[in-house]
Amino acid sequence: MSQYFDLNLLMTYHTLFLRGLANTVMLTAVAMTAGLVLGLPVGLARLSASRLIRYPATVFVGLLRNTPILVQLFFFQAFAPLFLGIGNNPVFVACFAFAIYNIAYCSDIFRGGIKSIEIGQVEASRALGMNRLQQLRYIVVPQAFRRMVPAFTNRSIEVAKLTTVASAVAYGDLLYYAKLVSDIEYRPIETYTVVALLFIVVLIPFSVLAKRLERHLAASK
Amino acid sequence: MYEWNFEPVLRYRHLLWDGLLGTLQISATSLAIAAPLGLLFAVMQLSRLRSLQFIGTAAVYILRSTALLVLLFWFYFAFPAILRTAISPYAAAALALGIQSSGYYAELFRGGIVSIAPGQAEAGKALGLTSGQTMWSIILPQAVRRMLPVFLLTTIDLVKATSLAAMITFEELTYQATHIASQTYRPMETYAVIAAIYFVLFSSASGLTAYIERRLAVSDR
Amino acid sequence: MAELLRVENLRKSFGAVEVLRSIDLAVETGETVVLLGSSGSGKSTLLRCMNFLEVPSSGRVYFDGRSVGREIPGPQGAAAMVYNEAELTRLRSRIGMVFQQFNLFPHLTVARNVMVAPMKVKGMGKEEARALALRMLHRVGIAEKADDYPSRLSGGQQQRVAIARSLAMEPALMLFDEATSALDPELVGEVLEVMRELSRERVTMVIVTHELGFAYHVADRVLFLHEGAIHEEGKPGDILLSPRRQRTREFLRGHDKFRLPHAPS
Repeated sequence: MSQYFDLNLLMTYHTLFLRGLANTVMLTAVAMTAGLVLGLPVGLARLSASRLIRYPATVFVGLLRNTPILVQLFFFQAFAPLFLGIGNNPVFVACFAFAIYNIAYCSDIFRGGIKSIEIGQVEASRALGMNRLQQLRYIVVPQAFRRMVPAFTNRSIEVAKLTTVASAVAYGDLLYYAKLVSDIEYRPIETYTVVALLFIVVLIPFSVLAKRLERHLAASK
Repeated sequence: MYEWNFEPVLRYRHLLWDGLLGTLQISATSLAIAAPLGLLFAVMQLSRLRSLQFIGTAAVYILRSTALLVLLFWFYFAFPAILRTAISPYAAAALALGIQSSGYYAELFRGGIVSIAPGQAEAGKALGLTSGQTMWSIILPQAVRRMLPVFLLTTIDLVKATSLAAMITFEELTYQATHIASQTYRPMETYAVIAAIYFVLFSSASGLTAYIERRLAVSDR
Repeated sequence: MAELLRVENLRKSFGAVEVLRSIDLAVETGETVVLLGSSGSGKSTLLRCMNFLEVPSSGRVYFDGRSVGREIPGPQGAAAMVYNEAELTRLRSRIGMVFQQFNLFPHLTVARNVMVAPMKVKGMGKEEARALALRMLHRVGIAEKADDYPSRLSGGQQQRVAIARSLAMEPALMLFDEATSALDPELVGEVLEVMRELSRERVTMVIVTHELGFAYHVADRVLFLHEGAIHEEGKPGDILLSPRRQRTREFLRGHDKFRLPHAPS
C-alpha cells in the first residue's frame, strides 16, 4: 500500500468527494440555521412562566436530547413514508432530523445565556415599565448574545462532526462517499484516513477560534 | 391510519436486553480508556515542560476535531488493513470511543484543576509540601468534587455515543434494534421502543446528576 | 396637598417569613418621605411593594386615587386582591425606581440608557427621546458623558445616570432603594445632592437610606421601621433628635457617623 495509490484514488473519485463535502456543509448549515432561528423561541418557551408553554417545550427538548441521534434518524426514516407520504428521501430525513435535534440543543444554550443575565437588569427594565417582551428584546437577549457566541461556535463544530451519522440513512455526505469508494475499491486506508484528516484540518481552526472567543469572554467579565 | 403493533417487537425483548448489556459493556470499556487518557492529556497541558504542554494541547485539539463515526470506520476497516489482522467490532468500538472521548475528559479535568484557586497551591507550598503532594492532597480532592457533575454529564454523552457502534455491527442496543426492525418489518415500533429505553436511561441519569450537583453546591458554602 | 400613594393594611410574606406586618402609609404629592430601619426591618420590601416589584400578600395599594388590582371574594369571606400584569406594567411606567446596584444597561450608552424606556414604552421618537435624555442628564449634572458606556463612569456618575433614566419617564413618584449604600464614601455626596435638588423641586419621593444627615435636612417625614411594622413616625427633627421609643433610640445610637446640629448625647 504505497502512497502512490492515495492520490490516484482521490483523483479518480474527486467528484464524489467534492459532492460529499458540499452535502456535509449543506447539512451543517441547515442544522445550525434551524438551531439559531428556532432555538431562541424554544429556549424562551422553557423559561416561560406559563405552564401551557413551558411543558411542551421541556418535553420536546427532553425527548430529543435524551435519545441518540442515530435512533432518531432511523425512526424518521420509517416515519416519513408512513406518516408523511415522503418516500426514500434521505435529504429530507437527514435535514429534518438534524434540524430539530439541533433546535433542542441550541434552545438550551439560549436558555442558559438568558438566565445568566443578572436579575438586576430585569428589575431595572421592569421598574421602567417594560413588559416581559420588551425586557427580553431590548435588555436581556442583546446582552446574552455576546455571552453565547463561544457556545454556538463549539456547537457548530459538533454539528459538523455529527453530520457523518447521516450517512446511515444514505444521505450523501463525505463519509457516505468515502465508504462507497472504500467498498468499491477495497481501499479502506486511503479513504477513511483522508476523511479523518479532512475533518481535522478544517475543524481545528474553528476549535482554535472557539477557544479564543471563550478566553476573550472570560477576560471581559 | 397507521396501526401500531408492538407485539412483534416485544417478542424479541431478549435481544433488547442483550443490546442493553452490550451498550453498558462498551460504555464501561470506553470509559476505562477515555478517562485515564483524558487525565493524562490534562496533566500534560498543565505541566511546566513546553513540549508536554504542546503535545497535550495538540492532542486535545485533534481529538475535538475528529468525527466519531469516521474514527469508528477507520478502526474497524482501515486499522486492520494496516496491521494485516482482523479486529472485532468490540475492540474497534472501544478504541474509537475511548480515544475520541478522551478529548472531552481532558477538557473537563483541566478545567476542574485550573478552577481551584491558585491560593490553594500557594498555601500548600507555604506549608512545605512538594507540588506533587499539593496536587494530590489539596487540589485534586477539591477539583474532584467540582468536576463530578460535568464528569457525569460527559459520561452520559459517552453512553449516548455508543449507539454509533451499531454502524460497525457491534451488538449494542441500536444494532439489535436494526436487527429486530428488519425481522418484524415494524421499524416505527422498534425504534420507538429503544428510544423509550434510551430516554428512561438518560433522563434518569441526568436527573441524578442534577441532584448531585445541587447537593454538592449546598455543602460548598 | 393631594394624596398620591396610599397603602392600607399591607402585608408581605416570603414563604413562612412575614416581612411586612400591616403597614398603613400615605404619601402626599410633593412630599419627601424617608424610611429608616435596620436590615430585615422590611423597608426595602415596602418600597418594592409600592411599584409592585414585589406583590403584596394582602392589603391594598392606591395610586393617584385609584385602587391597584381587583378585589375578589376569597375563602372565609376575606377579600383577596388579584393583579393584572399589564396594569402593573403600566403602573411602573409612572413610578421611577433607583437601585442600590444602579443596574445600568451595559450594552447601551449613557444616553441610550435614558432613551430606551421613553422610546419603547411610550413610543417616543428617537430625536425627541435624545433631546429628553440630554435634558435629564443635564439635570443630574452629567450631560457630557452622554455617549460613553456605563463601564467608563464612576459609581456616583452611574447612579446619577440611573436617576436620569428614571426621571425621563416623567414619573409621578420616585423610589430610592439605598441609592448610596454601594458607593465609595467620597462619591455619596454627588448623588445625595441630586436627590436633594429633586426634593426641592417638590418631586414626590420615598427614600430608603442610612444617610441620617440627609434625612434630617431633606425629608418632610421620617418613618422608622422595625420588624415589618412602622415603629415611630414624625418630623425629621423629632425622630432623629428626640426619638420617643426605645428601639428608635437604639437604632440611632448605632449610627454614630451622622452630623447633626445639637446631636443628643
